[in-house]
Amino acid sequence: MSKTNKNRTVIIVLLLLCVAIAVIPVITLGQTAAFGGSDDAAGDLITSIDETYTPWFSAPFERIFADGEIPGEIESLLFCLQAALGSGLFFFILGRLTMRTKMRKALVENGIDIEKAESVK
Amino acid sequence: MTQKQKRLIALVTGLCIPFLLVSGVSAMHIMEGYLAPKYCVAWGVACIPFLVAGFISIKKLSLEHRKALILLAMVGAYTFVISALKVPSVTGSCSHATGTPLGALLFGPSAMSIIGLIVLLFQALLLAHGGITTLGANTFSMAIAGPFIAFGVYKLSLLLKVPKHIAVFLACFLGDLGTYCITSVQLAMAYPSEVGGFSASLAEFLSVFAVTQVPLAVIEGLLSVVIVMALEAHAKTELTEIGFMGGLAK
Repeated sequence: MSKTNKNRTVIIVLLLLCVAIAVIPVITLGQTAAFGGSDDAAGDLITSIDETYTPWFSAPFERIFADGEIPGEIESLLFCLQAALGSGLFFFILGRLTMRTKMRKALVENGIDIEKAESVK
Repeated sequence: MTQKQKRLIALVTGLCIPFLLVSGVSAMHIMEGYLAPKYCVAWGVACIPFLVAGFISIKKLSLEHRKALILLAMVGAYTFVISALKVPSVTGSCSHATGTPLGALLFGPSAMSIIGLIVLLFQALLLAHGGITTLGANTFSMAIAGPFIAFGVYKLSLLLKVPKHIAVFLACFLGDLGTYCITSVQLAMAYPSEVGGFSASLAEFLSVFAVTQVPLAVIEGLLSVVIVMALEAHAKTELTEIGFMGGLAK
């Protein structure tokens, strides 16, 4: 049991560390930085190296919109959707797996040999 | 891998190499339209052998280790989430982790080329994040180079008797960072600076991508360790099936 508890503590500490790494730049640089995407920064860099460069292709989906860019709200909807679908599937499976561990433990406690039961199947 | 499959990969690789030579290939994802056509084609072609190997590896997995497919779905979903989350970084701009190194440790690097391609295709088509024309270059950096670096670092760490979880961290940290270094190389090749050429450009692109990425690569490493710990607790059967529990054996 103590091993599970230790793992739990380690996991919580690691997750908090992740949050801290993301939050600290915002707190320290919030006044000055724009926090744009690093891909846009690279785009600017390209234009500074080659001043005449214009992108030669634009995404078909972007052409629907008048100014050639996906409106902010729609873009955030799509990004949310991507994250939601991904985490939905991820935690659905994780939930099944954790439940399975629990059920197996219950079976063992009731004296049922899982290995044997599974090999019969 | 059967003899026939090996021959197929060798054949495809052989067909692709002359292509690369002719075309003269001397990011966050690279944006749509920001890479000249010859580079788009060249990087796309460079991906093909890896994608074929990846297809075979996933097919083999689905035939021989059906039970472990559920983990592949999980790893794919993880890549999906993590590459949608743009996180602020110390340089004052945002970037995202890749999610592909973790899968490479579990299923081998080539399997992740397919998963990464799917994620990149989705982002390029619907989110205008990355792009169709730059799909090849982005696949090469995020879905091929990153996973292969991670896999190499992991195996090397285990050989050097580094504890498993630390090996996972190192592998995913360097796999993530490696992706963005490759992106910088790709851009520097396409845009050599007038003064200083390739190396001057490379330094500039690295200062945009790699520096921004360092804290995110740490996050990628930490999250991967958390997931591995959770899987070790609850998916031991599947991990044993794909040979991940036993450390180096495989």
